Amino acid sequence: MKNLLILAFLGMFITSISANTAAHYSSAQLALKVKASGLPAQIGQMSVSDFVEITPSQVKQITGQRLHFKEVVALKALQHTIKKELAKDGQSGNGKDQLVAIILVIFVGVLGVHRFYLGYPLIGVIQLLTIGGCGIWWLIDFFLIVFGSLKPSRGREYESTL
Amino acid sequence: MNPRSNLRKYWHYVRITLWIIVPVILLVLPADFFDQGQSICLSILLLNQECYACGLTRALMHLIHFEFAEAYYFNILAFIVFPLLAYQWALWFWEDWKKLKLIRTS
Repeated sequence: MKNLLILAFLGMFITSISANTAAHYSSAQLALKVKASGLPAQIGQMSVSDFVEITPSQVKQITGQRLHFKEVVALKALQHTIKKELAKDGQSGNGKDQLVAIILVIFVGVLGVHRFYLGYPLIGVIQLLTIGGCGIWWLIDFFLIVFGSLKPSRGREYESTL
Repeated sequence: MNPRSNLRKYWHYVRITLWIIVPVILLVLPADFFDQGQSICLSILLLNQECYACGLTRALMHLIHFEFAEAYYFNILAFIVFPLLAYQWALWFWEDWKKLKLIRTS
């Protein structure tokens, strides 16, 4: 019984740690990645949200030196990676609106655009080629989206619903 | 010369002026003029989605100032779009120029 309690406590502790690391992209991680990419160390000191928005011109203003082409490529790649990781953690970038999905399914649903928007590109292509599954699939999708059964991919929720 | 062709002549003058002045203004403005501020793109405003043309204005602005790295940063497609746009721009200018010459000689 005692062992079980300890195990349960340990399990909760580990879960809380992993939840914390998933929710916050640490600045130490960012500094390491910036250094590994060969970018100026100064931009590794800023917050993650500032870093993903920074442009080469702003880097020049901060560091006083112009980035070489190789460094700009590294900056763009690193920003892209971090943005993707943040979106995966649900911190940003998955702001899918139910209203937008409804507007899309009404006006361009025959082309499967709502499926692309919600993150199902394969179904989107199939609907595009079959003209919304001969219109039937389109109609089904319309009701599914309106009633909230069809949600964004990978089990995510709508950021705002009707 | 009848008033209608007179009007057309002025219309071509206006267009030719635009073809010349717009690139000059863009060259005079600083390269990072469009880098900051709120986007006016409908895809961003309505759907919060970036499309393949996102950043093309900023990229072209840097490209005409010979800042190739920045142009790459904003949109790599600028390197394809710029020659096509420049060709089309020259074509528009040349068409108006030819029409104006035709009106003036007739």
